[in-house]
Amino acid sequence: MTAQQPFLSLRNLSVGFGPQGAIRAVRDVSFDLEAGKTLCLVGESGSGKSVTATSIMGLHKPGSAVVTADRLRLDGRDLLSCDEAQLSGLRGSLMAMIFQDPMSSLNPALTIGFQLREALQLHEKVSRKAADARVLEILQWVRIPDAARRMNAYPHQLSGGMRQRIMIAMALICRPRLLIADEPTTALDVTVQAQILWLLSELQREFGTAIIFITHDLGVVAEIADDVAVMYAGTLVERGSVHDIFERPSHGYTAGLLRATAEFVPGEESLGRLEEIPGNVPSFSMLPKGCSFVDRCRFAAPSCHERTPDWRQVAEGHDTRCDQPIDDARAASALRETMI
Amino acid sequence: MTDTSPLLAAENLVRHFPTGKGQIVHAVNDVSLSIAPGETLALVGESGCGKSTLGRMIMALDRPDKGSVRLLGKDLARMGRRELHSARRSVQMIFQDPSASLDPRWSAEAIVREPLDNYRIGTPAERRDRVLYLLEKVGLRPDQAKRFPHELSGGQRQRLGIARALATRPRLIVADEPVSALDVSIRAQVINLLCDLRDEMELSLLFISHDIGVVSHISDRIAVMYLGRIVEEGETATVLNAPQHPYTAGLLESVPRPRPSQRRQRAPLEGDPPSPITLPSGCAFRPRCPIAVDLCSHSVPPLAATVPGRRTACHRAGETTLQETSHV
Amino acid sequence: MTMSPSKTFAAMRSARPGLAVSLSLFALAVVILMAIFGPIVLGSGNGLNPLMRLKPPSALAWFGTDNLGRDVFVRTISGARNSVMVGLSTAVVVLLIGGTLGVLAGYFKWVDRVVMRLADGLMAIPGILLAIALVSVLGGGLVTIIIAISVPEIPRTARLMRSVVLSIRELPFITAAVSVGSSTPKILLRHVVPNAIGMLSVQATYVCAAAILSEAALSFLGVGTPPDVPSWGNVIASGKEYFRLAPWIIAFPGVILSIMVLSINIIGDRLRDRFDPRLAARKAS
Repeated sequence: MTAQQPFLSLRNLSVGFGPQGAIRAVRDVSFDLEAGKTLCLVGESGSGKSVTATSIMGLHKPGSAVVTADRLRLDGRDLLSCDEAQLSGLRGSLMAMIFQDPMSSLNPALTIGFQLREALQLHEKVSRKAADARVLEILQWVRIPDAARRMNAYPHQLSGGMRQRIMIAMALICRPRLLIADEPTTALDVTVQAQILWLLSELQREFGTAIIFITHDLGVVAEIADDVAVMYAGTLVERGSVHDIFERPSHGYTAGLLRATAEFVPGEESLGRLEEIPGNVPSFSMLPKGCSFVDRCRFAAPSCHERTPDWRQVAEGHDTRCDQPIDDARAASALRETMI
Repeated sequence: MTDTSPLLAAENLVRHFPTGKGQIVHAVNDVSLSIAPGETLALVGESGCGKSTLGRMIMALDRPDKGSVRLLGKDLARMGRRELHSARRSVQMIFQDPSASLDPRWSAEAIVREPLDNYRIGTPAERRDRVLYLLEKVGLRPDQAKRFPHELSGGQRQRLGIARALATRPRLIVADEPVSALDVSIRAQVINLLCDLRDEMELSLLFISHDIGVVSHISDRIAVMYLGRIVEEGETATVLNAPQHPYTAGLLESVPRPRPSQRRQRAPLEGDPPSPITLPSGCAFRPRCPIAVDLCSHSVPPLAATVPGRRTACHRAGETTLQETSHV
Repeated sequence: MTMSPSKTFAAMRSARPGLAVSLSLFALAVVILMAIFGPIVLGSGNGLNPLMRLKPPSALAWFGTDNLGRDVFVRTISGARNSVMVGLSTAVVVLLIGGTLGVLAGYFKWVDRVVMRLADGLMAIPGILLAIALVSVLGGGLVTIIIAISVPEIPRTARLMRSVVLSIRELPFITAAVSVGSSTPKILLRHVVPNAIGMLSVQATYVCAAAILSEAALSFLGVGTPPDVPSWGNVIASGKEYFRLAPWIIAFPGVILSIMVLSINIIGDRLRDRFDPRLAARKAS
């Protein structure tokens, strides 16, 4: 890996399903991720964020998806040219993934100690004793209380939060350099979610793991992201640093989403009425012509109906896929409108 | 009925479920609450705290083991079948999962019409008009009346569920996590719709949710539940800005904030909620509580009024300011 | 993209019943047409012809002849009528009785206790033995056969319906129906049954196939339809003593019986795939 090349780099990733990949669930997604940083992939259900992640991991069932990209490089390796055997060698050791429902990825009939050891021995030749020591160590890292005893526990004997910790342990046991977390806290209670988010950032500091964190919860994004990429209807609409996205959103969807979310911040007066994003998320068969968001966008100009917007830079490291990006003056006038 | 009497009052409700293995799930332990006409009460808590069971008992879908639910002063448990049937008319429900709560084989029109037929409201022709009126009220087009649930989007399905709940002109609506299954960009629409309809039809609302952000928007009062008990109750703004119970404080601290510049330094509450099967002795929150003392392990703190209109179930309520302790 | 992809995809899904299903439907149609029109055109095939005993298949008798000189082809065709009738009648009887009991047992706890104990008792006896016992008590005849085959099938169907209804009644839309004031009969008839009907139709195909097989087995054992009423079972039975000499007597009706049962089962599997609540749920999400 040379110094100029980002750790993970995607250019125009597209994924299609169905015959000849006709259902294009992901279109032209491009972003970079630096080693040891956290990128949040934000979007609603069906926006293509999970498909993007599984494409990086190469986890689509053979023949089910058509993945194309101008570039898909991780740590200097071209993932697109890797065959299934090479990919499965990289999964676990270089990149790993955790999911929303840990029960679906844990075998209910095996102890967690066994499953963790297996995950380790798949990639590294270590003796059983050394493996057990590593398992114990990683369980302590993910803050499993009474870890030595819990190694003999079965998944159903653990709480949801504990299971998600086990999943994180299993993903990290071979010290991968990229961790993809697909809504790992969505099914958890907020107090437990706070613990898991804290744990992830702590492990990131320790191991230097880069994280792609997939979520629809803007609060979580604000909590952990370095960079944010916003997806809508299968395509990326805006990307930038977490401060850019939250303080100076420039795409109509990002701005709308931020204002439409009911949040509680202590000491701040809650607004009387939430701002709505009108309409519904379009299905892939009924995408409007031009910008996919055009029918729901309050800033849409006639030209937005004509052509799909290209990327344009609004600031250093902050790009938007909007021909009418929101600037301060427009945001202010929009705010005045809502006040009236 | 005078204006001061509550629309709905639940007193000392207890509901335990036996598990298959001879254990007991303590779903609801001694909960009392009341809702005034036109008021929105939010029931907040994490999964397994008993908030949905409480909602079901208020809907007369489940019977309490102990305690009573009074609707307009009348005990639901003492009602005969007919009386209960007519009482149901004034309490309706909105469900969490809009897809699962609509019969997939019924059209939108038929779904909204079902309650009208059940209570023989108006003539058949009037019912048809009322269905169209209700659909329009919740923002569905007349041409969508013939559609089936799977032909509608998630947000539209929830609108349909709301139209069904409004059909009988209820006084109280129990909304059990009505937006948590919806897409983020749709939630605001549904919350605003609920608020508008509530104000227009002078409805009372029992809003069951784990989402503090939504609750802070919609509710007048808030009741926080932990392991089958209400631990704190009061006016929404006061409770959220100055929590008196350490659980409420930890819960609020745990909610991720949309402010990247104000990140938390650590997780505010340690540990998982204990299982409702083996409750800890004394205060159920004690094992996770940062300010627990000896007393907490052998006596259950009663939900007591601290200031008028505010109740807290904590032995140390009022002793310390929680904001300080939770930041230490 | 010129065409809407999800539409194409949906069309492809529905237009993909698979070759096996198409062939099964074709085979089923042929057999049913045979059952309806065969005996009208060809007669019952009971005519004896001592000169034509145990003749192999030929242009004169396509499937050969049996020990009494009867045309096996004609007998197989007219046997189709009885076999199909037994299959369909049994399916109807079993679905009506078993389905109703199952729905009630799934919805009401006290019915459940009674019905399921009875079902346990009946299921403890091997179906074919029970049927033989019933035939010997009730005497021969088509109606008796249908009753005898139905009784052992009813508990199985009742159990299946019970489990389907048990899962339907936990769905929120049933709770929703209760809370908008729908009466229990209305909930059962308008919400529960329509949503269970898919699985019921799947079960119907299995019952039908099983009934055809049971009838054949009973006839083969000599307790089925009377010898002058040809069915696949007694055509096969009539050939069992001449199997070495004239294998065609058993082979042709046997093959057609197998094809029929296989076809019905394939169609049933296809129906199950369509109505399986888990698959439906996956499609919805």
